[in-house]
Amino acid sequence: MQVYLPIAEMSVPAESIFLVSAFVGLLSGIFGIGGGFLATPFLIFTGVPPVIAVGTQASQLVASSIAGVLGHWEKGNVDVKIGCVMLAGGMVGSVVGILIFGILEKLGQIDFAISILYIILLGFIGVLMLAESFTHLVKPKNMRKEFNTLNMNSFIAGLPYKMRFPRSKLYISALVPGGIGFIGGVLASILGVGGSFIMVPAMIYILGIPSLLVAGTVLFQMIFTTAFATIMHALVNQTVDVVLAVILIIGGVAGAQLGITFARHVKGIYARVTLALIVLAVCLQMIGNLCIQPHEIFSTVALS
Amino acid sequence: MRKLFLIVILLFAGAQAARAENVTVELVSDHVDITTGFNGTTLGLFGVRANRGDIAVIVRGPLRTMSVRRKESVMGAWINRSFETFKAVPSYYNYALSRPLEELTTAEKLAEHGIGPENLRFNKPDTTDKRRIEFREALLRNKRMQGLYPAEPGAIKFIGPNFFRADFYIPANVPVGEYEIQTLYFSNGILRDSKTNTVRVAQVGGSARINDFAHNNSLVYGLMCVLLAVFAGWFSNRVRRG
Repeated sequence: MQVYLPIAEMSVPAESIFLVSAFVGLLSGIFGIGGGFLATPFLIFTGVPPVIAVGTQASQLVASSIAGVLGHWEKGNVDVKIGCVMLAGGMVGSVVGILIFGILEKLGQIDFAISILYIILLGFIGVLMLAESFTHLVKPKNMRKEFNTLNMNSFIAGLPYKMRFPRSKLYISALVPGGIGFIGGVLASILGVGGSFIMVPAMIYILGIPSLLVAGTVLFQMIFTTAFATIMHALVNQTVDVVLAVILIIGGVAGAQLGITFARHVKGIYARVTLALIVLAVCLQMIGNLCIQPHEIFSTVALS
Repeated sequence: MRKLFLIVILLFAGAQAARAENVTVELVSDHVDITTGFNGTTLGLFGVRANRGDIAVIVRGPLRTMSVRRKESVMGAWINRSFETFKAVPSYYNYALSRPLEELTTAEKLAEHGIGPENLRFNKPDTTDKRRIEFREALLRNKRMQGLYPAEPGAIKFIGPNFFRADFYIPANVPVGEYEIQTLYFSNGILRDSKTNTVRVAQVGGSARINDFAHNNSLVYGLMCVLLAVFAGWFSNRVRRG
């Protein structure tokens, strides 16, 4: 069924968009990720202009992070204080991201920038996750040590504005969670991703937050960062398509509920290896798209 | 002297009247409504010609300035490196002919009236600049791939000896705005008459209201999108628990 998008001013196949958002929602339910890094490229692939894909995806992330966070919230697995520091950074990051997006678009290099950012981030995170997962598979008992604050990098330990985060039993500079949130905000507005695929590892390895609290806290702060990014996109670029958003939200929410149920029956370590492989597959796909000579080397865009 | 002047005027007016009757055109509809279920449509027109001349019908969407970009391999990656700008590019173009393009009229006339995508003149007359020509061809190719320019002309269908119709497919990704439909009447390669009609392609109903609202009340629209998302997330969580 074709559905006409009033803001994008084009019609799209509703079923395929629904299916992909349900699949992305499933991943989001299992891993506590937004899944935007899969949804956004797919939307662009179906012909939705990148600006619309990015802007609209932000609103879908609001729904998926709320649906995801409620379960963690009721179990008390959210560090609200760290979350608030992160979202303060996230809002600053959103503004910076939207400015960068505008400049790159004017230069005609937004697609290239998106590809390169995806390749660097996904490649880095994928390899890191895979390596870490295998270390756990080989000697699972070393796990506790890694989260010990005593192992913390001396540079991070030396940063000013230290704060106590009782829920996570951390005493660390506010710049660390704020900085992680900032990067998340930039990614949310440039790439239309929640940024959890970089924030989750960063929170584990740099911040040292207990792994139980990671998913809940990321989702908690993501609600506000993505809501802010949605409003910014609607206000500055007018690129949030509500019809597209409804399809994405319904699909995403349905998939996420399935994923949360599914996650109970999956061993965490295997889930993480799977996610690492998915991340690397998307990365390879992006490298392929960038480096294989395109069928048509010319593209057009309307300036006015 | 005064008499002579009047005669000239009358002759001229008479000629004008005769010319005006060479072709008459009526559109099936003067508007295309884009609703939420819009999946492309057909634009049709009927016409009557006075004599056995040739008919060419040209449909042009709103004019745009287009940037054409060429990717080049830079250290293994394909990046947009060269840019060319074309002005007054019809966002949609289609045409139908009653006789093959080459037999219709002279090359100069084809270019003058922009009959056929290859004969469209953008901001400046075609130069011999190789690069410019290459980019221009790429623009036409891209438009064709998007279904906004035709690969070949449509046919004028004759219902009677002089009564004809022409149909043009408007795809779902069509740009909104005023469309100009030009009907040209040639006899022996000379333009005898032309008629111009306009069709308004616009969003209507819910689709149009959403678009208007998003542009006029951006902040409220953004907040509503967020509220919708918040509600959807919360609702799905409730449903799951029964």
